[in-house]
Amino acid sequence: MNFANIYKKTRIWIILAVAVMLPFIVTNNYWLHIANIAGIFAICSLSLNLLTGCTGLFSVGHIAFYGIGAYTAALLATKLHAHFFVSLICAGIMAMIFGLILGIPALRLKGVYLAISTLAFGEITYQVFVNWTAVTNGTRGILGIEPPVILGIKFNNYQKYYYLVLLILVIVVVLIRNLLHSRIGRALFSVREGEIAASALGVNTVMYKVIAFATSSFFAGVAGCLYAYEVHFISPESFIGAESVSVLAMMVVGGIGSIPGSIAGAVVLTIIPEALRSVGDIRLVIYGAAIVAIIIFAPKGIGGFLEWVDGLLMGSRTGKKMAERED
Amino acid sequence: MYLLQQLIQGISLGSIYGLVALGYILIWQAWGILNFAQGEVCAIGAFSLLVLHMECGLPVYLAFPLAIAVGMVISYIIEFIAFRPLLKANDTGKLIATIGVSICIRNLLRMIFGADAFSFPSMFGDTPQKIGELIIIPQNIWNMVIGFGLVALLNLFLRKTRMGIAMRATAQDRDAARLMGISVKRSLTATFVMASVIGAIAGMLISPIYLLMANMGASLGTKGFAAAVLGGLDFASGAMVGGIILGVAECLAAGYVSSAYQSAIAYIVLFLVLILKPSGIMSKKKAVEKV
Repeated sequence: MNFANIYKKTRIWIILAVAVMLPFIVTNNYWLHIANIAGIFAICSLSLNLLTGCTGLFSVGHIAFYGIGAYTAALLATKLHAHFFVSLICAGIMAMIFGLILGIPALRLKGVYLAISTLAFGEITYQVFVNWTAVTNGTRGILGIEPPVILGIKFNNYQKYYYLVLLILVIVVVLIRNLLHSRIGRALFSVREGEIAASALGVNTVMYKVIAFATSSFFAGVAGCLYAYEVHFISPESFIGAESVSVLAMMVVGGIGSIPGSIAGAVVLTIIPEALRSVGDIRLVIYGAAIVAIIIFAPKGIGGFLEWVDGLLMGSRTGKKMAERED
Repeated sequence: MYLLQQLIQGISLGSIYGLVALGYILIWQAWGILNFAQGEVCAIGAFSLLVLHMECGLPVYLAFPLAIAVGMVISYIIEFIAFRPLLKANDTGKLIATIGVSICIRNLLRMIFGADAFSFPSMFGDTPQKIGELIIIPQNIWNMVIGFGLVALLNLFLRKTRMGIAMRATAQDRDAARLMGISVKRSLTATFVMASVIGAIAGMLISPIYLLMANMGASLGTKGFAAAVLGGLDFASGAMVGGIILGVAECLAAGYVSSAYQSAIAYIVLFLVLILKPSGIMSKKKAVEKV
């Protein structure tokens, strides 16, 4: 057993161990909250990655699904006092239904035209959140979402909730990873690389695009549900178009099509604005500039860098082997 | 009569959206980039005018060209820092980089001017004119005149001048243009600056209608983007048509349905147009892709 082999076998467990230990190292409630938000956005960015990164369907309104999930969960929790897992699944399914409503007609569209129809969808959803006061309570939002209780454990602080987010994040990662390594995943990649070539090879491109839309919006809805339980209060302001853009930025900064990249992108782009809080208003200016800088100087994103490091540790001298395999 | 009133309002608003859309289209054709910072460029124009006119007290006829000059300089800087290094990047990367630029500018504006809204007096007088039962606000008429005038000027420039022809050639085929001895870099820069100036003028025109806010670029940019796609990104002539359809749809929605859902309805129209005619309403060819 040389180092490369040991590393290859243990890397995932090391990362998990660090993630599990995190609440003991970072005990500050504020930073735990940031960690939770980062985890939730990681799920959201993973789901967008499935749609945009892997299938090549551009979505600029992804936050709408996240918002639909959050509102579904919040309504179920406050009106029906539903169990956490019931809200979680319902949030996902509700988002998925809307994903299909958007996805099926939008199948006719390509590239920027698809992007703008998702953008329009995001804006319409936001307007409905604001104006449908009977259900969403308008701009005042929905208050008083009780912390989830699972098997008698009440997840009433950030530390406990962190583990719940982590658990769901891990499940989502495993699901998406298995999906991408299956027949469906390869079909999705083939749609991205060349739709006509894919259909000539017998890939039912329409079906796989629908599958991509459905699964992607399902996971976004799940992330929205987690968000609702994390902050106990949701209002339309959390689901404005700018948020879609930041999820998109997370995915691209992380590295298009890369699972570790999506997570890293979400973590980095959630932490940057918070870490810069001390410098005042200029932090968002730096955040914007950082996005531009990452695109210019590291076109493959953080994911590309991670894969390079990964390749080095696995013994390939240039770090290239791993990257090629991922492609 | 009420309908006519709404229509005038809509066309006036729509010509501003059309100008914003024109900026998107010019950059899209030349650079192959959807410039999501276009809305912010409009905001820069509006705020430059605000500073020059209200703070420095310059009269409008001086402040207006000066604000355009400010917009030109700033857009040149943006192009130099953020766009030129990206020419060879992948498409999604370019898109995100322009989003980064827009976040950067929006927050710079917020840093300088705060989050408050500024009201801006009309450059052409506020007194509404009565024609029969119609009430016409001079600003509305001027918006249309300036909007269509600019489009006509741009058209003339692109067709008759050497620079304009070079810009069109670059947009059509970069390599062929280079072989013909056109400085591609220079035409790209010229296109970018020109698109930004058009955006800045749109920002100045809309400032008396809506309040000036640091984040005004976000909504104006989205509307302009929507108008650009409505008209078809490959047709510069479609920008105005797309803009006016969007503006009229918005005003009719506000007048007859509910002003709360004003922009939602505009987007629903957009969505329907996209589904029914994906390549924009101005395109004649069917979208058939060749391998």
